[in-house]
Amino acid sequence: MRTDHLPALQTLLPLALLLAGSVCAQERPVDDPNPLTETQRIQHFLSRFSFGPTPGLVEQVRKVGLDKWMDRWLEDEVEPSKYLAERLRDLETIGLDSTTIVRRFSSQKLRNKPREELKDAVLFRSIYGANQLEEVATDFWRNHFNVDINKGNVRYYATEYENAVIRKHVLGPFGQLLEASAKHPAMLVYLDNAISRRPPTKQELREIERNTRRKTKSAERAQERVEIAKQRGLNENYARELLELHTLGVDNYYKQKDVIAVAKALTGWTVQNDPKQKIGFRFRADMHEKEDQVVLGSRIRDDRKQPLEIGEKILKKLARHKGTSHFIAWKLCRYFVNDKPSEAMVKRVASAFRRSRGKLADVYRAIVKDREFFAPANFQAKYKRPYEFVVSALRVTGAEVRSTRDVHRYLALMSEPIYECEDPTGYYDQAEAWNDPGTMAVRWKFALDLVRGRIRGIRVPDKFYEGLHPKLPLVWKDQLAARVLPAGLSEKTSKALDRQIRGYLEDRQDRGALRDLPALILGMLLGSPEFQRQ
Amino acid sequence: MAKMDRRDFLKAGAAGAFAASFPVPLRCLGTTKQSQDPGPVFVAIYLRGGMDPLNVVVPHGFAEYYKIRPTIAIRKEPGEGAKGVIDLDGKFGLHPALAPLVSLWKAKMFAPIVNVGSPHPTRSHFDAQDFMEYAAPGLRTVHQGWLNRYLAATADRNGKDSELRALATQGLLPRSMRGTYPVLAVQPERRRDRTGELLDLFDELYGKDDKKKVAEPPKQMKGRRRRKRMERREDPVLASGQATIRSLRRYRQIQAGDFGMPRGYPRGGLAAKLKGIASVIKSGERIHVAGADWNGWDHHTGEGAEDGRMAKMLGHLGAAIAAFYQDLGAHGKRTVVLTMSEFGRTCRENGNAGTDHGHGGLMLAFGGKVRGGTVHGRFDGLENGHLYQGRDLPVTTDFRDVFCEVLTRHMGFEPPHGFFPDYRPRKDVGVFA
Repeated sequence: MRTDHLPALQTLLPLALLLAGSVCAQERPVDDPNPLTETQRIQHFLSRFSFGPTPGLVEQVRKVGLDKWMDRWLEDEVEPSKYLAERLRDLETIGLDSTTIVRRFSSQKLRNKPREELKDAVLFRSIYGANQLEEVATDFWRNHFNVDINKGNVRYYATEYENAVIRKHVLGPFGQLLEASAKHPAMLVYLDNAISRRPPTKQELREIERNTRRKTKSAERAQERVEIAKQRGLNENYARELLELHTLGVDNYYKQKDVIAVAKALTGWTVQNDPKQKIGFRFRADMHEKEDQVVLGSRIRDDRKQPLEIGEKILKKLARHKGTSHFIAWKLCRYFVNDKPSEAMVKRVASAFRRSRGKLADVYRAIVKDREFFAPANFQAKYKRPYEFVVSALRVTGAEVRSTRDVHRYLALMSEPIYECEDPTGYYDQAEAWNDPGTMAVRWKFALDLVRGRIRGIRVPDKFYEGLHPKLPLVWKDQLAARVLPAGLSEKTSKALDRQIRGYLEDRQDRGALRDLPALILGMLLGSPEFQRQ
Repeated sequence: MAKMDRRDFLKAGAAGAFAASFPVPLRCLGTTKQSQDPGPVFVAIYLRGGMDPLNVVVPHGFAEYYKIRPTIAIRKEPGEGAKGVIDLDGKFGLHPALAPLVSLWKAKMFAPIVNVGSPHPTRSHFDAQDFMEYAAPGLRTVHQGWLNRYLAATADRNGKDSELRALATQGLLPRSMRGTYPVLAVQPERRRDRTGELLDLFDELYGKDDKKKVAEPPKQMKGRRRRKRMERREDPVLASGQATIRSLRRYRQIQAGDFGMPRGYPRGGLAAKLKGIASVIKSGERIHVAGADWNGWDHHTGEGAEDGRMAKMLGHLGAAIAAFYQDLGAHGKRTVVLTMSEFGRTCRENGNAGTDHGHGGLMLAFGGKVRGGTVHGRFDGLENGHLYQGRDLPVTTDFRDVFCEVLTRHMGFEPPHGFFPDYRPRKDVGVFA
């Protein structure tokens, strides 16, 4: 940007203000009862089905047409981003399966690498992924089927989990996604199903006693071992979350006895974790509780020849259940539409879920096509989660990300580090979970650090500032706002920015200082109340 | 004694060049009423995940305990130089990692409450936490934390409450503090940063005077309707930004003035959070409620016994609380700490040397107002007949009885009818004098 010729700033101020006012007036207030304009519809779609627009994206969508654009994303007919491929190329572990990762990266020196590279890959894909609908859906399902990278061996399994379980299924049938998650080592370890087993039989206890006595020559030790073995048994953790968080929703249709029945049916679903063989799902018949189970009121047979089937049948039953369609529809609407979706809309989306047998691409389409999706009240009505705030800021400025370390640090400060949610709920996506007083300060800091180049390895390219009016600094804020805020500036923010800019100009008469002004304005726009919404 | 601290504080504040470099004048230091007692403080520590009660306050006097926990019981004499249970009253004892709490026990400033919990049978972490933090078991309609309700009910009518009247020293508020009354969430130990500049820059953007101009409902509306209208009008994003600016300014002033550099805290974690809270209490600021969370008490596997994962966490817990009271000095008399967790765990250990989600739990109460040196609550034993559903500790004290007593005896607030929905204050738990 060039600021070489700045004649008598003070005299130009009134003119600039006038101009600024006129730009402002063109913007529609958010709660206008009139329907959204075409541009606003595109912006609204992009604010929910992408991590926010990049420079020029709104125009591209307009040229293609919104419906067609959406179909391309839903059918994944998108040219992959070359820039993304380049960023991912340096990540050694991101294309590897769990077996290779454990074999090659479990030494003390290398063990953090898979975890760190996975976090990077998630971030890069969110920022630069060409099919943003897929990225946003991946974000949703990653939280829905949350695993914590800090628990046990999940650090080695999560890379494959992200790729082969979550990402692979986000457009396909829910039932397949559910089953893939249930059988993946990351989930089996995270929610303890890998160690859940039937209680030992009397005969097994006798054997343990005999063996221990032979080995240790101590009756006391043998008895101790028997007591330990007696305690060994069912772990309800996964079964409970499967019903509560993954399918039916808390206390919907199921009771404690269903939790136990599901847990019993899933005993023996464990992990082959010996790196000499292929790491993955393993069914262990000796851990399996061989009995029929009553789940949600119907008896499910345990086939002695096919003992894996009872668990699979239960998963299928849950994936098809009406309660699941409603719970998933409600959660998706809460994520894509507003924090308190209307029951009517949830019902319509749930029936689309059932009609398409859980095909998720069709469910997303049903949400966008729903008569409520483009309601003006939903425009800019969602408060961004910290992750959405950070990624959308990097996208909208076209930032080049060479190093991610500081971004991860910021996300941790904002309580949303990638793949580190301890609770199986995943990170919440409603405003009330994120807008505590005090939290905003970290967003402001990120915004200013970003534009001032204080985040290591990340900069906003000069290109972003191109085309600013050469002489009228007070117009800059409107020009920049038009690039950053879909709903434009509120009058309040506009006035506050004017005063800040005027103060800045009065303080600093030298030309050099003006060079920093556009960045400062951009930083304040990214920290403004408007940019916290989507 | 409190005056003494204040004077030290003021001296330090005036002497420091630090203070001079501050963008906001330190006027508040002069205007806080020195003569007034800053009043009671309540600190809620939430140990998330369902802490195992039986390995914290150990019922070593009950033989059954050692039978049902063959590998993870805390032994009386583990041998080989290892430390065993610290006896409290012949029946109960402390986990050896909690040794730092013994002096508080002897000073009668520490009392455990056993078999305390929720009347609701849920074993879901998230439901149980919500129910306890909203103090509304089984009611999914309540979405304002019980401490936030207290804060709102006792707010100064002229809006003259301190910005730091309620504070959580972490990135996000615990749910018990969430609601219409603004509560500050601030990361501990972030002293040397550029937050001051940020606050100045965004002050106007988030509208310092906005409340008066925009959200003022018509004068003729009164009472609850008026308040409701105020809440509705206020944009949550703006409100959050404004509150951020006001309260962070004040918090930073206090942190800058806290020259004592308190010693004895373990590093990081809960200790860092408590240190931040202590600095505000010591400053004489009118802080009433503080909160801190600690996630990770869900020991399904490898819980450990005298040593091990949980022992390590208990070591930090004990040391952090002991250091907190050391740091507070005389202010400890007006400060109550209560630890809580969403439920207890199965009495028998499971096959993975851990325990699963249970029912009755444990609270630890500290401070001058606590009738310490006694184990409170009814505990009948661990035989099958005494257990809830044959597996968990029963609930013999409703957690709301304890909350209610904190409010009445410590905070001097009589909760009106309906404050705790579907609950009538019952018997005296007798934890607070």
